[in-house]
Amino acid sequence: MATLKSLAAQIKSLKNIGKITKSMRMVSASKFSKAQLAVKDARVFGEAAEIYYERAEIRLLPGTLPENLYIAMTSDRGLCGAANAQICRYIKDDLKQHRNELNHIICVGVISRNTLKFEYAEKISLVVDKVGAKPYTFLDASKLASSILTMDEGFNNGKIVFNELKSVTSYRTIATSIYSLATVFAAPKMNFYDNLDPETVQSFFEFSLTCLLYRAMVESSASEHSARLIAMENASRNAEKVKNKVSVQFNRNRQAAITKELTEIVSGATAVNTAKN
Amino acid sequence: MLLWHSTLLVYKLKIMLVKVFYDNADVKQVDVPSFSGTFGILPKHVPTLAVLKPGIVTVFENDGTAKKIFVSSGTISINDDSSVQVLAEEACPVEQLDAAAAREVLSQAQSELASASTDVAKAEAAIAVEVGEALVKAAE
Repeated sequence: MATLKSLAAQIKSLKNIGKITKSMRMVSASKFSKAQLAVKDARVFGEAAEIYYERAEIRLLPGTLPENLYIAMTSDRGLCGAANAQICRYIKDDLKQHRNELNHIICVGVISRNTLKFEYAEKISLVVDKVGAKPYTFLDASKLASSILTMDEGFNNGKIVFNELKSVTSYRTIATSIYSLATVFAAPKMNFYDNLDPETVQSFFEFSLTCLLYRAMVESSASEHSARLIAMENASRNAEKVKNKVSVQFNRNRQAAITKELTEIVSGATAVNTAKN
Repeated sequence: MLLWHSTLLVYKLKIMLVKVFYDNADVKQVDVPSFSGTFGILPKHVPTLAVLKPGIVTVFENDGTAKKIFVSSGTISINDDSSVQVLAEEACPVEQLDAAAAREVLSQAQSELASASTDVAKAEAAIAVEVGEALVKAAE
């Protein structure tokens, strides 16, 4: 049986855990409400950039060996349910199907690096850390885009894997396709477009890549905050529940000890009285 | 008559928020400044891609009102379904521009250009000057 002292310590630590999870929940709630506003506009921004890729029917040319680039939009911190894990799982599943092709991974956030490095260490070509502390800005997306474009490893086919915010409490892991400049140029429907010079297409390509990245960043971080909000709410509730359970145990044990002492005193006194008589 | 879609989105540097001006809206005409010259886009414009130049995008809405929005840089894509996407890095309605602040931006950019030492810094400062000049012109 646990001693009273150890139970008291347990209650105290449960109380503290509850306090921490509760304040984490509050922080996530305030961050989420800001992020949700940003998502509303960033989504339109990213989707507008996607329209062109769809209309021009950009596909990987038949006969070319796919060189896939995966961009994992995770964060630096855990404790947010499966938000980051699902992105990593998506990439792992996809990599299994494209085992024989050239693959590169860009990890945004250390969580994805930690998860993927055991199996795919040699495929990780860029890790972006110290992310997610502040809301993402367009400048962050620009920096990421330029480091992708200046990478030593090339790509002709890529995916930005991120969590799309569906509602306040749910998200879903999706991927946006991206293509290299050469693939964009070689698209069959490219002739439909008038007045193109290579420089314009290159500028256009770089800017739309940034727009897509920006959207993915903002959505992923909003989903993360929403997932953390829920995870912390559940954790607070669980801490409260366990604390109540342990408190009951503590009271029962204390009562038992008191009863035992009383019984000892009473029986001792009775024994003395009986001896006197 | 359904004319076309115009998705005009903007990014405001100061408040670090993307701002959406038009989303899936039907408008009459859009005039855009691009590096191959300023051009107007009407329905059934030939599909093309272009890069925005600092200047004023004018949107003529269906009821005939014209809205002027200053943009710094970005892209224009006109697709074969007559949809148009105008994406700008920074944008602001012209009536909200402050002429004095615009001149300050320009003079700061000019001093940066004068003190720039590397080629990259020079190019960056030259772009800032170009944006500043267009900003001052738009604010007047």
